[in-house]
Amino acid sequence: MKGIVFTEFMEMVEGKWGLDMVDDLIDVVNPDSGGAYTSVGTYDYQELVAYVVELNKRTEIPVSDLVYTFGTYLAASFASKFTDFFNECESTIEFLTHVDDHIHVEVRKLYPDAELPKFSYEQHSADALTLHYESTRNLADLAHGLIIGCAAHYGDKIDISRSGEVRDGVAYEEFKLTRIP
Amino acid sequence: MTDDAPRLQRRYEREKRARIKAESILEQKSRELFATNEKLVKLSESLEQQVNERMQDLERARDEALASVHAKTQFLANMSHEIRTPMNGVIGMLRVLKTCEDKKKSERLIDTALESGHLLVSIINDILEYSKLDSVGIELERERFDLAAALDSVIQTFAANAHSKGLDLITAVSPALPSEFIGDATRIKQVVGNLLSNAVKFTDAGEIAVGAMRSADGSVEIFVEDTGIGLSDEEQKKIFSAFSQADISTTRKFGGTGLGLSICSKIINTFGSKICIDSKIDRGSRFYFHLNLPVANERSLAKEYQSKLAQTAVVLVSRSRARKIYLQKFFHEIGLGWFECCEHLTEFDPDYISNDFNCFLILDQDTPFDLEQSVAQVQKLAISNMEIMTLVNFENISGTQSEFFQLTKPLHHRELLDKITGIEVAEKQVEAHVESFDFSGKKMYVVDDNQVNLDVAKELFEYAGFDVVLGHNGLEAVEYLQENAVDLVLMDIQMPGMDGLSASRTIRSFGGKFLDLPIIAMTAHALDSDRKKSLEAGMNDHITKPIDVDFALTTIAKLLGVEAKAKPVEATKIHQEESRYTTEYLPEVEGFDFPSALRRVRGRELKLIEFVLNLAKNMADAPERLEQFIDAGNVGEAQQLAHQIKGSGANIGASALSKAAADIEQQFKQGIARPDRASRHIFHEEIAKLLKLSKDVEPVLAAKNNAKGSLSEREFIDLLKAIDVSLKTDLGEAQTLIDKLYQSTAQTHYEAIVSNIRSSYDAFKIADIHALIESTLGGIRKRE
Ligand code: HEM
Repeated sequence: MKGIVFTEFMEMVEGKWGLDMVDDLIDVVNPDSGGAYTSVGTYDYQELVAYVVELNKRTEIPVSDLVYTFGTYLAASFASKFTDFFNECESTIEFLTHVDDHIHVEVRKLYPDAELPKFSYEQHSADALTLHYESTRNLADLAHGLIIGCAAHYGDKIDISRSGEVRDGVAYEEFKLTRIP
Repeated sequence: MTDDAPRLQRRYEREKRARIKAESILEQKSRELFATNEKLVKLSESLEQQVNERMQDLERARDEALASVHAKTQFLANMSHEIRTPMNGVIGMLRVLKTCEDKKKSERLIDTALESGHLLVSIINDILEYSKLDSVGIELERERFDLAAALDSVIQTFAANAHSKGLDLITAVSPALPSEFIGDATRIKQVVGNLLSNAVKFTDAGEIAVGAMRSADGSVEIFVEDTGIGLSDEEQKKIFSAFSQADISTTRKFGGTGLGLSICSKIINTFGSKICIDSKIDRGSRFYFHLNLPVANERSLAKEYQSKLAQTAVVLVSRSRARKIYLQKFFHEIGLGWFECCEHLTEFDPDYISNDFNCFLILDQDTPFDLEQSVAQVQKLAISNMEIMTLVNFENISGTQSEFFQLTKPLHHRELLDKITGIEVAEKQVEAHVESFDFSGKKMYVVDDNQVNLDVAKELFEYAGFDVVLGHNGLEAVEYLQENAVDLVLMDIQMPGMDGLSASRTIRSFGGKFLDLPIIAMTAHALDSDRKKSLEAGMNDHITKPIDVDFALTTIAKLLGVEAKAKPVEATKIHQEESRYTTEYLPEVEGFDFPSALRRVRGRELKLIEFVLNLAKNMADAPERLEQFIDAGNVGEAQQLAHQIKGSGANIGASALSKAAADIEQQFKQGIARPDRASRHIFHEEIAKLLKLSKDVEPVLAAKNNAKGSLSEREFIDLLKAIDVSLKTDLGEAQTLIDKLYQSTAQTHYEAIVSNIRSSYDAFKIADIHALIESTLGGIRKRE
């Protein structure tokens, strides 16, 4: 997984629980990388999973909530780092329709080794969208957080209902989005 | 706090490692970026270069196109000049002809106009050829031709132009020159015509001499000499490539002829020689070249007239230096008894010349005034044994009334010689030698896939005494020759199955006596390269179709070591008449040359008509067949058809048809699957003409056949039976019937029997006649 995900994660931990928590997590997980993450490197996805599990132990916040929270955090961070992508669009819904065939495409150009999820969608109206997530990594919660984070950026109020399943190691999740005016 | 120290330490280490890692990644990325950027720069550079190259290509193509347009414009200008000159010749002659009343002179004028016309045609052909052959090069024809006559015809063409500029045009052909050579006459004429045209153009006063003589090494030197503006050394170097030299002054000075001269130089190079120049500014030019031409006939004017001029004296009064020089040389070589020349008649002392001589005084009309003065003086001189002739420009002939014999300029040597010898040895002996060789007892095998060709060959060579056996293809020839001894083989080259070349190789490969068997190639190709091919295949010589009787017989005689029969002089005249065949039934149709075809069948027009009808019958559907072959992409068959018609057409005198077929064949050979519409059109038209012609003459043959020609077998049998009956009842009736039979079977395979019957009747051997009739009828019955 791309280093940016790790550095953002550590930033979030540091911001929310302090630098010592970062040290604790690294000390306990003791990853091969030694925890010396840089945004431009690439690291084992399992290290991230281990941190989340350890964080859950220490904070007693459910893993799904942690991942979701990370999503919202990540969205905010992306919004400041990749402003162009956000400026191209006017609304959350419009932005989400660009993720799969534009944003992640550009991401892959920048990081050829990135492993990105697949998104497809049906747009019902300017304010209603169904987004389908598909990935070998079960990170639907992250996606959920990212969506909410994006909505925050655009100042949209979005109602989301989710349903999903894991089949043959592949996670499928459906997000029904409605913007509340 | 001590607790924190190691943690801080680790945190610090971690951050450091992350930084180092990040730096190394970034460094690597920046290297990659750099490399990628390099690549991009190179790519854009190479794109730029590619664009530049493309641009340059385009520019070059554009320049080439412009240059070729320029060249074409130049070419056109040049060619229209080349065309205009002989055209003027034609028009000039015709203009004079309009007022000319002398029949003999008008004939000369017509001949000259025709010659000019032919030159025109060959020039136009050259233009076409030039555009076609520029890259391929020139192929020379090999044909028998009379060099002196060729030069004469060129000179005549330019005479009008030269005379109108006040120039004297002098023929300086050596009388010792063999009467016939083998080579490409048209090309030589083209070159000489070109040089002559330039000479006329760049000479404002004086004279131009055109001549030919044999050099010590046996080659022929041909030259064109003028008293014109001359050429500087610099110009001499450039002149043959004046066209490509962008020197405007040269180009202007030499007009459009730059290309003409470079064509000439190319042509002479193809002959294996080169054009040389002797020239100085304002001192005239002499263009000359040497050609190594095989001699076809060693006869020459000098040999013909030698002994006849020992008692003749010629006095030339002329101011032309060149004319004096050349006539002096000419008369010396031909063995004239006495030659003298002077500028004015006053210088001439008649007492000087012995009274035994036949004396001729030639007054050159340098100016009309000169002539009048001279005539007055001549009358004063009162020379008894001297005949006076004037030499005037041919254009002036018709106008001037003269009491003297008029010679024309350019001087026609034969005309002069005929006049001063008083004998009309005219054109003659060059003509047909059919009777001058006797090949009796010799057996000839002729192989050709074309029946018309075979028929003609049989006609021709049987007459010359040969026993002629015919074959139809290479394989048949090889088989026949293995079994049968012959003295000579005439072999067509292009035949289906085994062609002539392989057949010859096969025959030679048998070794022994087959190595010495004379084999002569017989092809429609007159080109040097074709000749080489046949020689390489082991053939001894090469003659072209349609067969030129004299040339073929001379070639054959040489190969077989047969000497020409001595021929009584009186025969000449009669023979001459005979050799100029005219047609009685075959009409004159454009594109057909029956007189020459008649020569091949020795004047037997009915035979020729028969050939014409046969060809018309066989080739009536040729155009359709050709089109079908072309449409079906069957180039082989189409080419074969064209080839056949080329040969047969030429043989029966359908020259235009033969030419059209040749043209089509040529295009096939060049890999063109659909010959151009124009030549196909001509081909169709010519076949149509042939069909119409054959329809027209068919009744002639039918009528003749009824009168005298071949009986049907039925009629023959009936007649025999009638004779047999009348032998017992009415001998008078029998005689009438026998005569009728005799007449109607002339030249058929019944001829022999019938003449036996007739001679028996003449001897009143009635029983013999009866027996003859019986056995003949019996033979026919058996066959049935
Ligand atoms: C400017 C906007 C975005 C950027 C630059 C971005 C970039 C990335 C990057 C670098 C990864 C990591 C891939 C790897 O390391 O192999 C990632 C993964 C992911 N992205 Fe985005 N992304 C953007 C927007 C979004 C949004 C709006 C969504 C949600 C709808 C989203 C959903 C995800 C998910 C769920 C993953 C986790 C990988 C997986 O589930 O397989 N991304 N993205």
